[in-house]
Amino acid sequence: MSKQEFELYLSLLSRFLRLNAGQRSEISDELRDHLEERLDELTASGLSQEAAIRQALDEFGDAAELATHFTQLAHRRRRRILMRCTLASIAAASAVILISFAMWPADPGGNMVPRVVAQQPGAGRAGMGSGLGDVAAPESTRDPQREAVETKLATKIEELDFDDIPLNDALQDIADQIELDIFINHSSLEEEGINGDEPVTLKVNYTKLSAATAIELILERATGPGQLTYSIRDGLIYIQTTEASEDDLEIQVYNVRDILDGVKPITRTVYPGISGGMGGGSGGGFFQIEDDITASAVSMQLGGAAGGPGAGGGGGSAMGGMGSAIAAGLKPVTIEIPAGKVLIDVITGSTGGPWMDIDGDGGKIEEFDGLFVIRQTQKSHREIKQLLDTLRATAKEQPKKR
Amino acid sequence: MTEKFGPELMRGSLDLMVLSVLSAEPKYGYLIGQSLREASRGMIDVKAGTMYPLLHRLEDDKLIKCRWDDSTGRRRKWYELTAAGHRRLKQQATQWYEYSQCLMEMLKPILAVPPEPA
Repeated sequence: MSKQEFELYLSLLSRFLRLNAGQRSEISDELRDHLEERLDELTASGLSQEAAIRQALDEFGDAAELATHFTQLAHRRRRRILMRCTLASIAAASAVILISFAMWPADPGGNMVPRVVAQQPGAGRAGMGSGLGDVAAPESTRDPQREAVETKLATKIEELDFDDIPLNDALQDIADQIELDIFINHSSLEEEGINGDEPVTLKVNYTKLSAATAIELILERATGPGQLTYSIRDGLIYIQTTEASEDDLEIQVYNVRDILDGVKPITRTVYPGISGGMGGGSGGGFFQIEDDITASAVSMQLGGAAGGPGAGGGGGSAMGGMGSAIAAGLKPVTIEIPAGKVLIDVITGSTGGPWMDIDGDGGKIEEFDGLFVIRQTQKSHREIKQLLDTLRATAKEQPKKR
Repeated sequence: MTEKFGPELMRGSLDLMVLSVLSAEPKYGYLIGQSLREASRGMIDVKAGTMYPLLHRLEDDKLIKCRWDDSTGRRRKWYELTAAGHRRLKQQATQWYEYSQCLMEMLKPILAVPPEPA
């Protein structure tokens, strides 16, 4: 008796599920288990068989609606698999770029500075800022479709005047102005209780904002800072929750050779037999350590600045190894912490992340010969790009002497 | 006496509740609902129609994983936390704890007003 009613419901549900047979039967099996267990409990509590069946089924609600939920989930899954394929192809493209970069002739500026070099006193200060801005290499992996969207996002919005307009409509307005589709992932938003009706009030009179900034402002006005974010997918703008976006990490390759060149590693010049070190060149005004510290303190400071015990250890051993050479030749020695390590710290420290190394979860940066291979969300990639641009601009403004 | 918590009240925290009842040991869907009811002294009663899509979503997000058990005669789907699930639970538990503390502070003065006599 009970079986019949339940089977009827399950087959009805199954008919609404736009899934394959295996998935359908798994869902049926799981729900059947629940229904029968619930029936036992309800009848044990004194309900009649008939009433218990009705209640057990009521708790599942409308079969068609429930089926929609399951189907939506499966579609979300399929989209993710698609995303992962895209990600894999980006990774493959990055690898090709990496290899072709590796084949390039060595940069005349000399990127491959050994960690420990003997130098004349004060030589560490020379050559700062050399080659800055000379390198016009690709910033990241190229994708024409995506670039087209980026170009549209960079266009200035003519008119921005929203007075209590629903989020959906505000975004549609921007979409119309730049002639680009904005797709709102409603099922992702609903998980956060955002339904698209949230009011947006935003009026900009004198400044012409870029479409990208306008979208960011609209999202923030509607749902508060950090709730929603946009990314570019298959030629359209995709709106989803920030949390959901953290599952979609992308690999991008950044050529930071110009910045690394200008910044210079952190260096210390050390004289044998004297307990105090002398100041070496410091990088582009970004990173400095105090002078007049003892040799052992130098390695500790450097370790701290480079943000890792590994780097500190490296500094220390380099010092030890140099000790005998110093004693023999009495030449000043400069210790260098690779600028790349320092720049990585600047990036992870000043962008939202999350970063695996800091937050235990999220993106990562790998350095390879002046290239940063960064795995992050699109939002973080935008922040990184902006940071690097700022670093480049600031470095250019600075006079060559310090 | 008091009404059960409505869905709009539980919206942001239901995931976390499910993860937390799974943190000690694996459970199947029905058992999860029961645990939620027991842990909340009947205040939290998640409808089956809400629970299963939620479980499937958590499974898709790799926060929980499942295992089928056929030994009882009925096919039963057991869920347990993944490493990511444990991590998420811990992160969000801290956040929710702080959130609820804030809310309590805010509501304290309101509740401190003695109820008006009927």
